[in-house]
Amino acid sequence: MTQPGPDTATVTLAHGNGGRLMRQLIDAVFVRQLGNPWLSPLADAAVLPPFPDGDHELVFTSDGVTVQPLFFAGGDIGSLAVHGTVNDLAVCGATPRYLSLNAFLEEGLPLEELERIVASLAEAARACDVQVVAGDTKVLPRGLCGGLYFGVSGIGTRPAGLALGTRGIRAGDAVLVSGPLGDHGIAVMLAREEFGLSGDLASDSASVLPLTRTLLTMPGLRFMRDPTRGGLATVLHEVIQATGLGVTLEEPRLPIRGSVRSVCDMLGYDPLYLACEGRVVAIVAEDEADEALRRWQALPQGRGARRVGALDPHHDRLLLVNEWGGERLLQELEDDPLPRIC
Amino acid sequence: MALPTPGEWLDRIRALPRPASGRLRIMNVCGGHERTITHAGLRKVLPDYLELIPGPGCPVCVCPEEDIHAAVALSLADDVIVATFGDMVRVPCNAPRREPRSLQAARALGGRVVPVASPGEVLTLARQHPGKRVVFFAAGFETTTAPIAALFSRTDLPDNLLLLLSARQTWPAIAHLLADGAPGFDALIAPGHVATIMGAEQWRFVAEAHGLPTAVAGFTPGLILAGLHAVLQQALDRTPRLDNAYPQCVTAAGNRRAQALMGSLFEVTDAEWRGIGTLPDSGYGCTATLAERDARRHFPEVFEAAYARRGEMPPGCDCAEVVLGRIRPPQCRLYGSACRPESPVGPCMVSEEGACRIWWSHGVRPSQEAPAGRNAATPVDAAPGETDPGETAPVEKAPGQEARRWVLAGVVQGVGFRPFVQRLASRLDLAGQVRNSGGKVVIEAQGRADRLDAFERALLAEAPRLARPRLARRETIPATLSPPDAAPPFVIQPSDGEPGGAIHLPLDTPVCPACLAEVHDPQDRHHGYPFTHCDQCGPRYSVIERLPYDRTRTSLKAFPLCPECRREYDDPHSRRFHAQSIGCPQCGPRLTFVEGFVEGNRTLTDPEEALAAAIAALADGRIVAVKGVGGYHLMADAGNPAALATLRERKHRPHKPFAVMLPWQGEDGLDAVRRHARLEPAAAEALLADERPVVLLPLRADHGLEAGLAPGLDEVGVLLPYAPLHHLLLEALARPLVATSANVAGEPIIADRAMAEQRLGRVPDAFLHHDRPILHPVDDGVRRPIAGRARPLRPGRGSTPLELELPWRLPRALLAVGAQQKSTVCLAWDSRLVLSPHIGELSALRTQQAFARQIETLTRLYGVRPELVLHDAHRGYHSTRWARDSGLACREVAHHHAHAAALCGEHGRFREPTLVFTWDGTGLGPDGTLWGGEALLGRPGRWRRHASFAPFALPGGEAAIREPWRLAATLGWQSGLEGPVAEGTDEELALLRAAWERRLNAPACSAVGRLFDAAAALLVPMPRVSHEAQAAMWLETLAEGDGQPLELPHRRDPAGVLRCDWRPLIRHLHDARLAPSRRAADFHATLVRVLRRQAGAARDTSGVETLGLTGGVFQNRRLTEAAVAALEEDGFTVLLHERLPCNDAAISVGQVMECLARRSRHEEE
Repeated sequence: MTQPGPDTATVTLAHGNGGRLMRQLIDAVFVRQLGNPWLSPLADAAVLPPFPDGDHELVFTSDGVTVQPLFFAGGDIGSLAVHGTVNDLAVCGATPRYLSLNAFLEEGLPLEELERIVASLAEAARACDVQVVAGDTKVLPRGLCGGLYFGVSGIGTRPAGLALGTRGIRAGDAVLVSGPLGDHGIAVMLAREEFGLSGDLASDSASVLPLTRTLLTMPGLRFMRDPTRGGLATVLHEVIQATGLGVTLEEPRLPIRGSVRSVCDMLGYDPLYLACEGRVVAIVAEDEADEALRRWQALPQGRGARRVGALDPHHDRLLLVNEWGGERLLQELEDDPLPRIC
Repeated sequence: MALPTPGEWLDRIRALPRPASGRLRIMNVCGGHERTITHAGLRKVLPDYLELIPGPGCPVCVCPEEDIHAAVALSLADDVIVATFGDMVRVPCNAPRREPRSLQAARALGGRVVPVASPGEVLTLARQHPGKRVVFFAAGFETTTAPIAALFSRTDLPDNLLLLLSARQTWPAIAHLLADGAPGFDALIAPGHVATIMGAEQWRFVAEAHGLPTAVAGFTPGLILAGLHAVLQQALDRTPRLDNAYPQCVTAAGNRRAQALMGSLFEVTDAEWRGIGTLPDSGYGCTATLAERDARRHFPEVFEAAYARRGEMPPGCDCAEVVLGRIRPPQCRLYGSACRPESPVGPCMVSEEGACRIWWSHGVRPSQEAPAGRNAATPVDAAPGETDPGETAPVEKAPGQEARRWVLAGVVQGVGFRPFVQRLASRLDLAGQVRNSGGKVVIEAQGRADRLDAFERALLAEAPRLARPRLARRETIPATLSPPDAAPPFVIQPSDGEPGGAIHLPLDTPVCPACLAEVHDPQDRHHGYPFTHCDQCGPRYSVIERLPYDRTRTSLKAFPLCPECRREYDDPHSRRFHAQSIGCPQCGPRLTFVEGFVEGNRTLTDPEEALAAAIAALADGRIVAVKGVGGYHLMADAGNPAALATLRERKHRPHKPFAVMLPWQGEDGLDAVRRHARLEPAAAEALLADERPVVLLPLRADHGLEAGLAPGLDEVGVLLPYAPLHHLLLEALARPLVATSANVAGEPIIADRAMAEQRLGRVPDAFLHHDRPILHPVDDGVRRPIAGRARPLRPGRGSTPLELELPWRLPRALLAVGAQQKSTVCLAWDSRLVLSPHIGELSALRTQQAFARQIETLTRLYGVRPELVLHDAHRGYHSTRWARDSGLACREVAHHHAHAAALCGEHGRFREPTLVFTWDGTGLGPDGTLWGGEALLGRPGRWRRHASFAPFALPGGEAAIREPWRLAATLGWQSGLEGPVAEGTDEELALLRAAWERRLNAPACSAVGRLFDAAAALLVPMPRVSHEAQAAMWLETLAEGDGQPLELPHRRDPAGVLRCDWRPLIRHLHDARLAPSRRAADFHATLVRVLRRQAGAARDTSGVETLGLTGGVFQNRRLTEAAVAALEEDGFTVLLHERLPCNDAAISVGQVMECLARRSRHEEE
């Protein structure tokens, strides 16, 4: 295994001084793993080729990636950085092309960890067929950034004229999710609290590109979103706010793993509010919902896809109906949820 | 030129002829005039056709009660001296018996009251007492107001001089009398002193706008006689004008400097006149210039309380009538008996300028009629021959006849009150009419005076059972009917107009014995009819669309009366006379039976067949949804275990007890109840009350009921039939029926057919519908006998909307939106508070919709638009979100402050310190942590946390509440117990332990309700509770024997709060050597010991003697009864709720009480 150039095994403030150590670190860790014709000149900016056809438009996004701990079952901050940005582009209907990467490193971060993280990041980028074409590295004093965080920007292209968004949503449209909910949130939480038990619990961190791509050709596709922070409930609250329509979810249809549910029950969390990093929520015209579901379920990543509810013109809330018709309202996420039972 | 002497004026008057009208009634508007007239004996020497009437001439006499209340309260404040003109010191007000009723009485109790003779003395007083605030309580007409203005215009006033201004203008009182159309006088001598300030011109309107002779007069006998001569001359000339008979002092425009001075400091306002009401532009208030000295702004709390007294008069006091010249002093019933100068009841007997005082000091005694005897002061019965029906003649009276008008407020509509009045009037041979007006009833009756007296007494004493009348106003009106016509029928007039805010909603009432007898009578046309009602029974609130309460404004408007019902409706001798909810098989609501709604169904629309089919279905063990008064019940044979099991399964309700409706049997209807349950008198009374609530009764050992009714409990909720339909069902089946509110778990009661069929779906096997729409769904109320009373647990049908009277008037209408569970809302305005029925838990969309509808219903029916919304401190409560989204001004009330204020408010304790234990399941405290074991010391609006429990974590937040074993485990760990403290798999326990150690999603709380949960889970396996309070109910049931209390250590936390350390108790509960029943008893006994300990500590430091127990924990009968006994043994007075539940249903009430009490101390937002 190639040792990184620097003569110390942890990141030091000197790695951020712009001098030799920094140069070595970038070459040894970043360029070595991410290098490509646009990044390798290490210019101040990347010069990108034009897209030859006029049928595409550019899609641009930016994301900050922080997670504690840096490694968890099913992923790490490196793969998460790629997936987060790629997924933001993908749910807009875009094919991700290029990323930029700002790494903020904490003094004292073991270089071995950095190495693993960047390797994971590079692996994820390869899998998604995106290139990291620009970057920057900063070192922060000990205690300021929990080891490491990333700023990632991404550029993608999508067919011109694609109409995706809340504006097209109609009463009666179906709500689909591409797989089990809450996996990522619980996996990270368990890792963070060092409960020492994980069982089959792993983050769902993954690119959703195959999922989004397969639906793009459907005229009835209205809206897609990856339910990250705040989970499914928060995405649907945004839809409710934007459309003025309610959403009624059917509890028995919600895909939630038994292990996730039981941990949530134990700790008093609601999986509908937990983050996913490899799922898509799609809203599809009612008469195309079955077809969309079929397309998803045909993909390995979409086997757990379910149709979970519908846009409901009869109210303007997020309503969960249980198996015997009892109804529960899902509120917008509280800053500091406190028991309301007296 | 020398002025004429009195003798010369008298000669000039005598030389004038008698006016064509036969007499001239001349009012004076000045106590000085009246004193001169009386003491100089002018009535005796004047021609008998001149009647001299004392009018509103005494500022002390019209000073409103509220200002006197305020002055009394101020005089008792530590740093205040009240200075006032001498007469004011003795004017009584109608304070409660234990409180001082005058400034004089306040002085006897240590109040600082200094009588003064002039404003200048007040200044001296203020300078002499720089450490005190000197409040100048200044009552006066314009004459006195001017020197008050002069004083307060000075620039050298000490800061401690404040003004309580109770100044009035005289002319608006005369304008008020004239506006009435029958002023009771034909000419006016206007007050000379007032006119020196304000000018004679002020009085021109009397002559020019009203055509009455008017003269401004001075104060000596000669000057008064000059004024009388002037008005007599005008009357004879038939040229009413304004004469200035006091030109020595009075000019047309008056003293402009004084007017300017007054105008710079004071502004003309509407003002209250004692016993008369608010007269427009009749008083003065301080302008902004004087704001800093305005006592009303300095002591808002005091005035807030005092304004609540507005309009109160000592019973029987007729001062207002005397002041208005409507009666003469001896005609007051109290004159010379209860009311004498040494022990005055009203101000007219106190003030040197009061007519009663003047007449009394002149020697007029009750036996006499007037100071002069000859010039009778009673309203003159002029001989018919002498009467000229000309323009100035009074409205003629029929000889021997009188007419009066009464306005009755309170609960008088929808309770058969107008028919009652009509029957009463017929009995007493009175003519007249009665009508609903706004929320009140107005009665006018004419007849013999003694009959009218008897009528008035009976109006209150014999009122219908459901009525709660209150006499708001009584007045004499012209008797317009001549004797031959004096016995026309007494008629019920249609309601007039829309209601104001004074309306009272009538409540749903169970079928009365008379109607029930008709239902049972095969000969009666109501035989077997399930909607038989009369003016004493039937649905009210649940069917009212708007007010006033008439059939056309209820959901019965869809059922036009058949000729026979119409005949009864129109017959004043019928029980159904103007009864709005009546009907019969021909014209009234009808039953429909629907079976197998889900898979192809059978519908029976013949009412008799429908009823028979429902009875057969129930007898067959099937579940029937039966529409009743406030909504549907799910009914089933309570003796059929399979039916119970099916119902529990379909309703997803594994544990929560079902109420059971028992047949009405035996003489008092309670025989069936006695067979199953132990019945104490308070419970029996509650079962039979109009509310017909569910009452939780201890089961007899041989109760013979199915265990599935209330699994694990030794108590059952029982109710008696209240609608005729229930009687018919239970008589036919002759067995107990489950009668549980039909809803989807967590949702409100269902009240309409479409919703029932859609939402209940397969839960019932069949439906028994009827077609009388339920406009306002309302659940059965629930009560539990605790400490000698059946105390409410849920406000429901027949008791809500529940009304409480506030101790003082609110400046603006409030809406209080309560908590989250057991939601209720409260509307409060004026001095009224109305509590909604139970709404439910606000988690479900439909409950939230019901919540919004309930607010709409109350505000619409009462016509009140709230300006301020009160809500809980918890931002996650739906009620709080609703409030903050309402667009109205909001104010937050901490949960336990509201609990404590609700209890104190219910008992009217707003001033005295009380120690209130607010023990419940958790609510957000003002410090942002979860409370629930708090002892709050203070009074509404001002609470201090005296004691609490050591805080503990709720691992998983609400999950800890649903699964008590988690709490048992974590409290056990916190108490040093190891090993398997509670259920749970190893993995669950490991996860819980990890989460607990990291305080992950584990808010801290101090709630006793949660200690109950943990205790129950330590004693009995309890993985998951299906309804709140389940654990506490099981624990209470489990306990046997008195129990041995543990002495739990207490210590003060850094904030000075005494904290109970519960850990020894948890360890004790875990001690498996003792039987669970014993440990459960020990748990209760230990909590009682904690109460005693914390109460004792509060008494030691603060001297508090009165305690309150509130919060849902005190629904526990064992705990509450033991606590009351122990605390009373310790010498405390213990307050419990009587009309409100102790649980969160009372939070909305407490929010109002808390805001009411603290409003004045907080700035407006």
